[in-house]
Amino acid sequence: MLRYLAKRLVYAILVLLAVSMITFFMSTIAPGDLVNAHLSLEGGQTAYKQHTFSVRSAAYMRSAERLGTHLPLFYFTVHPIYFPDTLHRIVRKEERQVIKQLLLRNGNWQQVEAYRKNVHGLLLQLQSPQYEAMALWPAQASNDAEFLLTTSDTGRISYLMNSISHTIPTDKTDLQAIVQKLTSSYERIQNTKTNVWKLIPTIAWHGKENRYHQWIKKTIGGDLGLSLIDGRPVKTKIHEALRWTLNINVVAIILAFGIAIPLGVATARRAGRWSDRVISSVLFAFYAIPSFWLAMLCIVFLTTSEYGSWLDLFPTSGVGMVTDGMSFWERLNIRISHLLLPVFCVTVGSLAYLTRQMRGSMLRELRQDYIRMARAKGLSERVIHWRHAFRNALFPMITMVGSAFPAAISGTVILEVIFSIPGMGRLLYMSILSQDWPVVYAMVLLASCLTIGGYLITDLLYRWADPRVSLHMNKA
Amino acid sequence: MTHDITPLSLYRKTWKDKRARLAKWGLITLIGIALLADFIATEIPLYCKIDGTHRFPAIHEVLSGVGITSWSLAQESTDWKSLSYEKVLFAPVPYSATETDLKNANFKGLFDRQNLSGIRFRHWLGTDHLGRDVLAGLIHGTRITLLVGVCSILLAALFAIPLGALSGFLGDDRLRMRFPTLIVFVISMILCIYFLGMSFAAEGGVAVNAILLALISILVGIGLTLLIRKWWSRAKEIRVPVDTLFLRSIEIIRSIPSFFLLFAILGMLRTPRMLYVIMLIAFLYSPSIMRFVRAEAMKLRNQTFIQSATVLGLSDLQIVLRHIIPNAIGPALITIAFGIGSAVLIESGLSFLGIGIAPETVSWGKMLNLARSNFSAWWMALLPGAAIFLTIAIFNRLGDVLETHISGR
Repeated sequence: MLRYLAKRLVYAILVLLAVSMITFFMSTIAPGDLVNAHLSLEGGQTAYKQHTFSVRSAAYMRSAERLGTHLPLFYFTVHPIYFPDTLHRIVRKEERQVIKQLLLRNGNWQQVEAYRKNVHGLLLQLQSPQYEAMALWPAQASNDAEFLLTTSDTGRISYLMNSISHTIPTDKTDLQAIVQKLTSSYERIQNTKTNVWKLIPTIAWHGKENRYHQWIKKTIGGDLGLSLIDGRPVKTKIHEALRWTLNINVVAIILAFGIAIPLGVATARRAGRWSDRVISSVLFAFYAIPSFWLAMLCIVFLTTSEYGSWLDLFPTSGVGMVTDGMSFWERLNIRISHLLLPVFCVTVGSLAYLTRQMRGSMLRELRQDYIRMARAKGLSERVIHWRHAFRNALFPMITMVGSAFPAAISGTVILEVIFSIPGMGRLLYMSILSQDWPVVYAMVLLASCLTIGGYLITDLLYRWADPRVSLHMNKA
Repeated sequence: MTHDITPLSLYRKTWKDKRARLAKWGLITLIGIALLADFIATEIPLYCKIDGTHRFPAIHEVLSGVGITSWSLAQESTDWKSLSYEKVLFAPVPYSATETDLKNANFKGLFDRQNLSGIRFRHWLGTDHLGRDVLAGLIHGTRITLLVGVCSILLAALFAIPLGALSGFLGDDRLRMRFPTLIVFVISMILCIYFLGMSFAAEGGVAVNAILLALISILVGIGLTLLIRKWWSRAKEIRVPVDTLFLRSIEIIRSIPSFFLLFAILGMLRTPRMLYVIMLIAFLYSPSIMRFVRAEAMKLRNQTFIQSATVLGLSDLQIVLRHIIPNAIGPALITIAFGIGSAVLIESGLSFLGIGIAPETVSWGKMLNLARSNFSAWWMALLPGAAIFLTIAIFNRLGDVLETHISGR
């Protein structure tokens, strides 16, 4: 048992690592720039926009270093041989994308880097104090030049360059010279084309100084970053939400198992009779009912006096206000009246499935030889059913315990949105709508952890109940 | 016991089964509605006579939509109902799903007084806040629901059945590879994936080059394998634990709650497309099909007809293709049927929340969501949900019946 436990634990940790990598990489390809979002969180996005390019770059770099986005993505990177190992030093996400595209097209790092340096040089010149007080053209030209750093589209680049050289007056010879340099460096990029073999990959090793390593270190330490919407720690937000989701799901799962097991046994004992048929078809219907439809029906018909005042049974949404002065019973009353419908909807969803499983498993046991043997021995039906068949039939239900919980959490997403319960599902929904990626991916990771934990507990219970089970489950 | 059930006989049995009768006709109706939605519910007349010429505008509309004909009469802004016809035949439901009837806007109910030009144009199942006909929405929503549900699960099955069969049949001991061959295989796979990834990242000629390189890496891999087989026959053979590898990778996918993952990925996309939803559902559902087929293949591999095939000298690949997969498809149909049910559930849940499906498409989930803004519109809460429920029930029923036939109960 101990050996199995150790093996299973190591395995769970490996899966967890893989899942953490998946979530991390997805979070890095999420749209938007994390650093920019943080800069605007710190206030003064408008003030930030008024600063010159160099000031902004410095602010960006400071923020990026705090967040760790200036580091390479992973322990190693795989890229075409002609890519520099230090591409991650172009910290700005958009700019890095542009440079990557140009590199892929042209295949010559020196030329691309020269082009990038020229754009930066032009920007610095345009925004230097000597032109600051001048008319509109320096601002316009520098605007165009900044756009150059966000696009790799050939037509757009040549348009922008044209526009820059026309905006700058011809008598500013020093600026025109820089523009000239820029244009020629871009032409050089355009004129060289990469060849096929340059795409062959190479591996660059970065060591521990990378974003994934920092991220996982922080995550294990409990620091999940800040929400991009209100700047609150993701951890607090999730912590608040988790409470509601757990409350609802734990109650619902206990209810579902509490009803499903006796009901499953009862229907199995009466298999084929009309009572079994009726219950089974009702359960079949329950099984197909989308829980959000049930929730909609409940909320439309049972929470307002729209269809008769006697149907105004429950509060419409939310979890109710509880003030400090209230007694325990008052609080309980408020909470129960608000949470009764959601719990009901979650329960119905899993109840049908669990009962069907229990019934099927009980029927399977009742067909076994040892039951016939028990009958032949003259045992009473009650003893056969409860002492013999039931115990063995309960065994597959163990698997359900572990997986019911993650499934229920997934299922409550829509219910929480409908009933406006500030739980995980609603938080996830809101965060996705407002593009709050740190919260979203923290939640995906947390839900995965719960799932992995659920599977782990299931396997251990299974093994505890049946020592023949091995990690390889070769006996399907 | 299992190997005498061919998919065809199973299909026949299920089709004739009394218990599946309702589900069968329900499925046929659904498919019919989905296929003919453009003719059942459309504001464009099926037939009309204008200026002495006979026209079939609805058919033209559909054909030009597919791109077969270009249609001169197709003016997007034409208000078909206010045209004066000599003769006209409207569709049974003379509204399309997206047509807004502003005279009957703001949730006109089934039994409410409707502002109409005739009983022919009544909104039999009411309207929504924009005056869109609910019945037309239900009819056109069938198409999306079935498309997503069926396509995603079939796509999943397409990948999952061969993979599951291979994994179950080969197990951890059946596939033996020479050590150098294994290394060549792994390296060429990695290279191939890398180049394909490059082709996605790059654009134009570079992308083509990358695909070319991916092909080259596969070919070189095959070439090296052949060389090794010929010249390095004394290399040590090792067992490849195919089954364990499969199970472990499936476990990783299964560990991420599918609804969360679906949400997170679809939320990232700037342009919602149905194709993405289909692909994602397929990806997330394929592990369950894989596990099922794997278990089936594992049972099959110890049966005498497979063992005799091995003795007769059939290669593993032949056995998998000719014997394992055909015999595993029958049982896999159970998961496919239940899978379509859950894919429908996922799709309607997503569109209920407005994630992943383009805003202009009308779907059942989205219609159901409209009831949240007006509790007095009970038909918006009842009808689309009932449609989702019935669709799921139909597929679940089919799955149930299939299951009883396969397990022989």
